[in-house]
Amino acid sequence: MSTPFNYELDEYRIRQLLLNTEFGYTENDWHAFEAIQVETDKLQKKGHTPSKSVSIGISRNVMIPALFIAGIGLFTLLLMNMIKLKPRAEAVPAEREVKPDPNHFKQNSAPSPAKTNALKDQNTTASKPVSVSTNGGQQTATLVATTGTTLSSDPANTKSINPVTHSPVQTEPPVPTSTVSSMALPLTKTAETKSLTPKPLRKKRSAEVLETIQPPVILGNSEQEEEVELK
Amino acid sequence: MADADLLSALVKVDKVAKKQFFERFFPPLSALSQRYAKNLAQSRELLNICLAHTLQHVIKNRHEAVKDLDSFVKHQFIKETISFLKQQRNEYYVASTVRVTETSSKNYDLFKDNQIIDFNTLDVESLLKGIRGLVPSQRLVFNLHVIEGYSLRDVSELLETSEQTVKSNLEKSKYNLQKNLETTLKALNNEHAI
Repeated sequence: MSTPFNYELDEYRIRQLLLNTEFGYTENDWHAFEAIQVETDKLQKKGHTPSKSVSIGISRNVMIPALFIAGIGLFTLLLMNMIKLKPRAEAVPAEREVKPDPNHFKQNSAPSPAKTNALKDQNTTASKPVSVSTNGGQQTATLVATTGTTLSSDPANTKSINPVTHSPVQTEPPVPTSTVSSMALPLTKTAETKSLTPKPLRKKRSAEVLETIQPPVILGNSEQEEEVELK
Repeated sequence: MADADLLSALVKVDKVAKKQFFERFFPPLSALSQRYAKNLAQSRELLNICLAHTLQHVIKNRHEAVKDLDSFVKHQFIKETISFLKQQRNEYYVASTVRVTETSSKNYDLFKDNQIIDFNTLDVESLLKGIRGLVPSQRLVFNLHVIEGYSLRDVSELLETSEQTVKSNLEKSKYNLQKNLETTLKALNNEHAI
């Protein structure tokens, strides 16, 4: 083994060389060490102080599936809100607001005498002297009449307007009584007619009977034919 | 100042005691850090950081340190050095591609390669240069086992690896160091010849 070209390391010699070596120091080394030592002290102090961050002892293996499940649940809820799975509810007949048609009133300008009398009676009951402060004397009279008619048609309004506590009110320009009464009539009529008119029933049709066509006989009678033996 | 007095002064954050500690342990630990580091810059960084950590550890465990301060400080410094080098993950976990099974005896051409390399002429500088050229894991194993004198089991415990890995790293380190020293000495011989 101890050939001149066999470079075996002398471990003992290497050890002796390196173990006993020492290097000197300078002031710069001391300052560098001091600076680093201060930093490490700060870091250690930071490490000792209790951290404010709250750490929950739940592992990642639990948290991630829980988050996924919550996400999927939210997504399904979103989809469920968008899609209606319930059968369609029957359309509830919505109450249609009936409005007077001014063209119609012009045509039926002359109301029937019996109905006008009835309206007048209503006016007398509802329209007691209301102190409405307006300019002209004539205008006050007409206002009383008009308010009376309007109140009679709408019971809610009669309650709200109290003759004692009523303050001066600016109303719309007066409308002749005859026209107002004629306005109320067609409203009631249209409502009645719409509700009463029944739908025409469909007639039941008898089922159409078609003639049966007998199928054409192509094959011969089975009794006459003989079975051919296969060989 | 006795060890006990020095330690009690260090506990009280006495600057003079700290300087005394530095003056006492800097020279040997500086040489040690130069063996474990890959270059001078890293050795300086390693020395300052690990010495600061060691000082903290000494202050904490002063009752143990009082018994044998020198060996306590050295052992702790080596531990700190190992953790420091392991933190350089991109450097530490480098796979060596050297085949240790290669025959060490070579048939040199006497006319071409006729320089007789005498290992007795090795000096500290060239030896440190050869050790610095090793891969960190091999460097650590070589230092711990060959120079510090730790057993293979102790080295495997310190490095937290298997004993087999330590053995293989040791073989590789010896082979590589021999190659490094060879090249260094050849270069030196050439310089002298010129």
